[in-house]
Amino acid sequence: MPESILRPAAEVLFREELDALAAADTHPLPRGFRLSPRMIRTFILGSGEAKLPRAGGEGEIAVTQKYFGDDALVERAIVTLASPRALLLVGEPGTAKSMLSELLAAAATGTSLLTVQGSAATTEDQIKYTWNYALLLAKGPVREALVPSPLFAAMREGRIARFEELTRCPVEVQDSLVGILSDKVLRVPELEGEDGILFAREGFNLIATANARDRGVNEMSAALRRRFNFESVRPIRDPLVEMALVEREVQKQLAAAGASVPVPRDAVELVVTTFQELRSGRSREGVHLDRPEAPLSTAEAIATLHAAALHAHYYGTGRLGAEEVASHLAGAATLDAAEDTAKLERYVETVVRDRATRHGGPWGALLEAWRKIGRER
Amino acid sequence: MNLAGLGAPEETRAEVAKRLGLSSALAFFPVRHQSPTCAAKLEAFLPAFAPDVILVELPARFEEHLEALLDPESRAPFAICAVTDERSPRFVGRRDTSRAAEAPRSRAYYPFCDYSPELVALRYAKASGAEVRFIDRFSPLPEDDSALDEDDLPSAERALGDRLGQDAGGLLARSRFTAALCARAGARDFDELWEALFEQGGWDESPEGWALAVGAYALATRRTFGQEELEADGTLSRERFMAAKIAEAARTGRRALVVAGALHVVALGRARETLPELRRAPKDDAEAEVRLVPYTFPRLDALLGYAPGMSGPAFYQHVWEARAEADPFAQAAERVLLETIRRARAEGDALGPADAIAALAFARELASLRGRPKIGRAEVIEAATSCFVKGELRVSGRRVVAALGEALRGSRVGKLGPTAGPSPISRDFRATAEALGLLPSGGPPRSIELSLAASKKARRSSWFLHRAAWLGLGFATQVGVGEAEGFEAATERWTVAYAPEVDARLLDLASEGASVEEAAARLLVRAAREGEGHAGVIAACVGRGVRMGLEGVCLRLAPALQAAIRADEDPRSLLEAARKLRRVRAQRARIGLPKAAWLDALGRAAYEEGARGLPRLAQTSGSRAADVPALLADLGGAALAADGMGPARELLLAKARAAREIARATSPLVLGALDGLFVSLGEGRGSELGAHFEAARGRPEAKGAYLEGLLALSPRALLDEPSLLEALVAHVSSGSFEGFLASLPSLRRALARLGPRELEEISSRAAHLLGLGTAETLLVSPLPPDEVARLSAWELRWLEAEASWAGPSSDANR
Repeated sequence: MPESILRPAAEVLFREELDALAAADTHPLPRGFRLSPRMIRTFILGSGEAKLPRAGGEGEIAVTQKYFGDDALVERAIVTLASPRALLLVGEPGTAKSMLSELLAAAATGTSLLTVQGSAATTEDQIKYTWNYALLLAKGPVREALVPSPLFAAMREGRIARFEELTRCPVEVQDSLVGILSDKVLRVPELEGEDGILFAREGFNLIATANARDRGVNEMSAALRRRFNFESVRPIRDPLVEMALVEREVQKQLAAAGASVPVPRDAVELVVTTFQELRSGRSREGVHLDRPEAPLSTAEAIATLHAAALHAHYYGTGRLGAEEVASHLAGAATLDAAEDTAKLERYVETVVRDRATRHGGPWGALLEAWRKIGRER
Repeated sequence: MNLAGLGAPEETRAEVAKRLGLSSALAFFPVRHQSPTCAAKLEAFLPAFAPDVILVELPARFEEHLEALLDPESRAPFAICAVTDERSPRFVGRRDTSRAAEAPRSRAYYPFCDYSPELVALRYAKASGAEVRFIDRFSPLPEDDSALDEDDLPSAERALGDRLGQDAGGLLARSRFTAALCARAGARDFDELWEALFEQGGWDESPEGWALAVGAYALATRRTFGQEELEADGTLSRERFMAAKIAEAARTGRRALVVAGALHVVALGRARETLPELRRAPKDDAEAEVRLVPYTFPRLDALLGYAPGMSGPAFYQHVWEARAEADPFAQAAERVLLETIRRARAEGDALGPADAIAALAFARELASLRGRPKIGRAEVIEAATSCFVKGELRVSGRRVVAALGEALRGSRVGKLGPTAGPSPISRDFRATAEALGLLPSGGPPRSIELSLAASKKARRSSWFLHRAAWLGLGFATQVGVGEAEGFEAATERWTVAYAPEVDARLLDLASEGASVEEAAARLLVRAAREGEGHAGVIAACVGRGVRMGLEGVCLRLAPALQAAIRADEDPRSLLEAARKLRRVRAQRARIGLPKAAWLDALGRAAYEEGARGLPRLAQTSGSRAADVPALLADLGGAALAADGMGPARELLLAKARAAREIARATSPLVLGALDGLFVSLGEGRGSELGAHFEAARGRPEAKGAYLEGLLALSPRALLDEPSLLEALVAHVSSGSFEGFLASLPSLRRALARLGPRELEEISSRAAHLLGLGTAETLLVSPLPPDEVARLSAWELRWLEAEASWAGPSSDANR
């Protein structure tokens, strides 16, 4: 793997784990899959303390846990992919839908790169195929002039394709998937004979993601909905699990960025607790809170702490303290709506102030830092 | 993880095998209540073991109901219901707190369904001729034992106690143990763990293998209990009782099989050597009435009531019914998924057979991925939500989730054969409900609308539902009944739902009569008798009796009511009685029933006696006077109606005049109401009203209270009597600002009785009196926000002060 690549694909990043799992796999494989459902689950949820022999035969490797939250959801997602139905992961932004789809695709059929990015500008030919117009003009509609879409490639090779933000696409564009998912066939009317029809090979399926915030923007047709099994992805509820994940990811990102900033447990707890309480609308003391428009997801918590640590690294003392946390907390909470600042302000002046008064410590430091920033603003 | 993966060490398995002794003359078979796999394993084990006597973990005092439990015409689910007065025994059903004729008592239910291992054992005993003994005690904590010192116990019992408590560990260990097992089995909670290990995972095991695995699990769990904890919750006391009962059977030398909870049998099996030495006769002297009642699947469902049972009874019933098939769990899953689709389609979801096929395949794959050999309840739920819900679960899944819950739970209602009863009143309830199309359902509450004027059947249904409500059966609830107690409407709305408490309550009422009608009548007469001398109470009984279609009973109550009207010295009670009787008459007319002369005569007597008591009524003040305007309004309405029920006009006017003189000194509210009464009867003098308003002084709220009483009976008084409006305008414009603010809350309450058109007219006239034009009137209205806030604060303070002046509440005075 060349070191200059910013973010390698999951199948590259976890090549050793995938190879070890494949070598150890004795369970039945769904047709076209590279790993059995049990091994895919182990790849995503980790092998715990158990280790697997490396594929090359030298030593052992532990499979890391990559997705935290609802284990049963992962199992259901795997079962769906092994069935004729496609999988739609729906949830709030930042709940790791895309990461889960990437891991599932990489483990099941070996690649996570056959991806269509949905948007308001997505067209049907981006989903199916387009043409190399120079060749088209030169040779007419022939096979070699056809430029396959990621979905086309997935059907041809028996892989899992990914469709990000499906519901950002116009409904009529979404509906071009109905025939593909229903008959597992893609017709190319411009080509004649066998070239004009593409039968999906075993292993083909589709994982789509949809943002719950886009509900109502482009509702899916009933015909397309029937082709999917839906799975709702929710934020992590257990604060300890979320804290462990945030801490681990921030440290990993800082190491990748070459910033040697220690991440204190207190800072992680402040951010994770604040995010959990604001998105649930209730503090652990039972105070009702206004929920911000911003999603305040785990991903957002990681980004907030990462940015705060980088701030400390480049502009501060190299130590991540309450001031950096307070400053980036405000930024995270005002991503989506200006009113969120007021909601965060109320949270600080009620919940944080109460904790600062009672317990002091990191909550006291956060309150002080928040007020100092407020004065400077 | 399956049973093999439970990983009990060999020595543990050997120890459990020794304790259970499944091939010895005294064998212990561990069970979990309402477990289909356990029931199937026991069903297979019984003929192989061929016991002479079967000892079942049920209270010994229930033995007399054995024949009833095994009535071939009974249909499960049914339950033994133990009714107690004081204690809260195990598995207590919900208390019925609805308005009823009698106070409820505590009831404990011991439910049975077809897949209850205990019922399987009893049915086998009946078929094979084996003897059955119940070995548990009813009262979990015998008070007499607590007084005993350890030294008072015979040595054999002390040894037994030591042995029973020997495996005890601690609470922390228990939670750690269960959590670790859940993690290993990939289960989210104990129920899923049990199902994965012992229902799905145990189906293909031999009966002995299953019993050994459950025994090993139970032994490990037992070790996480503290001895004090087992003593405190009565477990050890019950086990000592069971041990003595087992010892009695063992002494006969016959082959005996103990069928009891797994946690008990591992402890009792350990103490098997001690059993022959036990001589002490156990006591179980808790007082309780024990009956057999039909039960329902919804109640059996753990979510609704019976904590030790497993949720999803319809699913497990399907498993049980298909137990002879190759994969009963798959068949049960299919039936539940199809039922879910049927129910969701009925609610508008576009689901079909293809979805059922997809979901069944999904459930099978999910179980396989989890290493579970059969489809369990958890997989059915997840398959249905994944394959049927087309959107976010919380947003789009409500119908499917509700349908799935119903399909898993089922709505079956049990039935008792002739040996068990039912009592005549239960039979009558069922027969009447069926005949009227109000057939009890075990499902969610059903809504019923009855148009009383439209059909006799609707009226009969109404009578029946009113009787059921009065008897506190917990079957019928009237919806949207306001102050008029349902008398104003010709259409009644009800919800009906069946719960086991219905039959339990009917059993309570068995001594009150052979039919619902008879019991309702008897309790009604009793309630009227308790209200002797109080016209209001007896009239309420008459009203209730008419609504229940018990006219004959009401006629029998008439002399008592007549006597009460003569004897009652409380004008409030008399006017209340009159109002009720008048409503009854109006209701009867509304639904087309003929006039009842006795009702008219009683009503007239009540009104006249009430009118005679007006001077006494005028003596009330403060918060107790709050209902006087409404009583006087009804009195005035009756007098004006001239329909034969109201009081004589002369009598009313004379008594009202006397009352007014008293009210001048006691209550401006009552004075206003009496003035309003005169105005409404065409006897008021307009000039007096303004003077009375002005004279209402003393407390700041007096003027508003006067106006409130007046407008309650004569809403147009402000428009029709110029002197009153002039007095009001003068108070507002020329009095002190503080005085005006203080009277504002009561003035607002008074004016709130008027409609928008009347208010507009009054505003216009008031503006004219003040010399303001229309444009200026508009300018006056919108006050600046700070002024509004100041006035609101004032108003709040005065309301608080007013409440404190009112003295003790009327309830406290009664």
